[in-house]
Amino acid sequence: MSSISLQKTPLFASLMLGSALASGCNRYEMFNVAGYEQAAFSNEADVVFLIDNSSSMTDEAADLALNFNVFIDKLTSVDENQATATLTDAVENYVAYTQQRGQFMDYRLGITTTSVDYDDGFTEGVDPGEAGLLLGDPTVMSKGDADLQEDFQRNLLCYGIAWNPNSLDYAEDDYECGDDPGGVITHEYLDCVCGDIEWDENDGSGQEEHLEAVLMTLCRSVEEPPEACYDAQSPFAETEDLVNDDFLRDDSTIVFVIASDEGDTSRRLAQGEDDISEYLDAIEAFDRRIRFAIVGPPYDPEEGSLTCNSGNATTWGVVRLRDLSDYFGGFYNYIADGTGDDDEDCEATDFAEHLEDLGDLLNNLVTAFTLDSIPDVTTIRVWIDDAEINEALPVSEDEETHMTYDNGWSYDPAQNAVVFWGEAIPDYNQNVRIYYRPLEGKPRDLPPI
Amino acid sequence: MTIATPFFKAHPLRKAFGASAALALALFSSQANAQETIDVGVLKNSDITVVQKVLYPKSGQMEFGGHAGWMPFDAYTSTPIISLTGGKHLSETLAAELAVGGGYSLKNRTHLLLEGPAYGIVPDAYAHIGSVMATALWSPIYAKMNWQGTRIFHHDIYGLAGIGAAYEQAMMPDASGNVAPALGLGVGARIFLKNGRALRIQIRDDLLWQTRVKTEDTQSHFLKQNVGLTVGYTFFKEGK
Repeated sequence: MSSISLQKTPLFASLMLGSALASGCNRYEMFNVAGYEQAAFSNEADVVFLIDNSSSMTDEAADLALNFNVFIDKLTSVDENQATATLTDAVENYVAYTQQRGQFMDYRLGITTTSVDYDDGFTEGVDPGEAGLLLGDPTVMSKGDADLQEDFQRNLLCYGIAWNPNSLDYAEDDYECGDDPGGVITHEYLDCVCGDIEWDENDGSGQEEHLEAVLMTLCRSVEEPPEACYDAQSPFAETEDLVNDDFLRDDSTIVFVIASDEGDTSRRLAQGEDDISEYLDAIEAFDRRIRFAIVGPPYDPEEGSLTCNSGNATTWGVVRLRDLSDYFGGFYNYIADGTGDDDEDCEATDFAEHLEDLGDLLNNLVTAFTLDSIPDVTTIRVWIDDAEINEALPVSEDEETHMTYDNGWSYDPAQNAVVFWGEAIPDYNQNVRIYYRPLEGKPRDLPPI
Repeated sequence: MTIATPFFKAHPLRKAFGASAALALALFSSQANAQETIDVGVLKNSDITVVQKVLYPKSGQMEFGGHAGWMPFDAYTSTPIISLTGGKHLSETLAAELAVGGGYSLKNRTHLLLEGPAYGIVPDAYAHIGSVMATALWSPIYAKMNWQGTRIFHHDIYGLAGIGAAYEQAMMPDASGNVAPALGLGVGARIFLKNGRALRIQIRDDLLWQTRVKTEDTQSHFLKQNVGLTVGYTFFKEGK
């Protein structure tokens, strides 16, 4: 029989219990971590141009078409011009590869419109460009296509824009196909570009549903659309046999370029509602890297008001677009610029600049990594695979106050991103992890332990 | 030996019976003829106590052993541990021991959930690598238990206290190492087996005063507790 002293038992039990409880309270500081996706630096980008094809947007859409070469030039392939004969060629190619990663982006382009209500279109069914269906011929334009620029301009000008022939100029008598239009779209220019395509019969829906169009485009581009595609308010369920074949690639980053002078009026949100959580959840259901490059009405967040609002956009409709680019990353540029409410003080912004920014965005897809929270910069630590990367030192500052750095990483507060420079730029599909402590709290509540 | 009982006190006949029995024993017991009778007086019931014979004495013996276990109580890590111990029993109740241990901390489910895409947060947790601890063991209790009426196990229960150091490494990629002074407190039990072996079950809480370099600007020192549960197999050897 055991003769354990009862006096000893409570003491020992208390010691055990106290130790067990106390060790669960070990305190640790928390770091945010970004970059857990190993495929973050894939060089594949699938770009969708989502065009507001209302009549008020013809000038802007034409500007986009005429300046498209700016975008292409930023991503001009060096493949065709690479010399490969000598070791020097190989070294030069490697330097070009590390310094100008954007030129090695493998991109695909597609165009659709913000029209989702297909009843208002050319036919009673879903026409190309409506309800997320890509338009043009070919619908998918890829890097390296011989006539990429011509195909893009033709698809945009001839299929995507609802021209009002009565508002178009006529060219000089000596105009011939191939001549520079001088920045002005004329009947003759469109006849040359479009050939047999009846450009003067396009018509767009009166309701611009940017968010719904983004969602429909995604729904038609994947093999297994998520449940959000089949919402009762959406036209997808009855038209799901219409798909965007061979557009989205499995590992690509998807970039939506939205040009519009109106705010969003997508059907799943009530008029006046600026909370787009329903659409954010629906887009996230695709589990893809997505960015938004939006050119939209000027909005003053401090005043909460719109300026140069020639398209009669609503504040809540514009806030939806801004929140979309803020949430997923990208940029929101103004489609017009000016100081007053009077449209006479306003001027359309140069689309060439927007396309340069788009080119930069695609370049930054391979060098910049966005953080979820504002970091305490002194706590940022960066690893690529198992190697820690040191902070880069500034080298020079160009005329436009763009700082450049030597090898390493830097923090760009404008993007809230860690940017890699020189030899530190990670190779595609390397594992990049960025640890930092946020300046203010944590992005969300922690789970119970 | 004369045992005073109520029976013999009660009746003269009983006295006679007792004397006869004693005579018979004396006649037929050769050993009884040789022994000298000692009269110890009257014993009361309150004088009678069961004295446990220490079948497995420890005093003066060396004890060596290997232990394996787990540290499961940390919020973000789960650590399998092993250790080797060697010590000497200075008396039946007091022993001095040196314990050398090692471990390999794993991220637990909470840690993996936090650093995943849902939260994107990483605790600055440290992985236990190894420790050295010099302890004093006090075992005031020696007992035996009857297991289902078929087997008897002799065992003791001890408490321990010690000082030492632990080496731990950050689980974040910087893997910064840290040697922390430690204070150990614990309790355990030895179940004595045959042939000088014993099974030891022990829980020990190491309190570490840990320095963490990544958070020097806000707090550089943290109190960390490593609570380990171990089961060990030890053997005793005569000490010199």
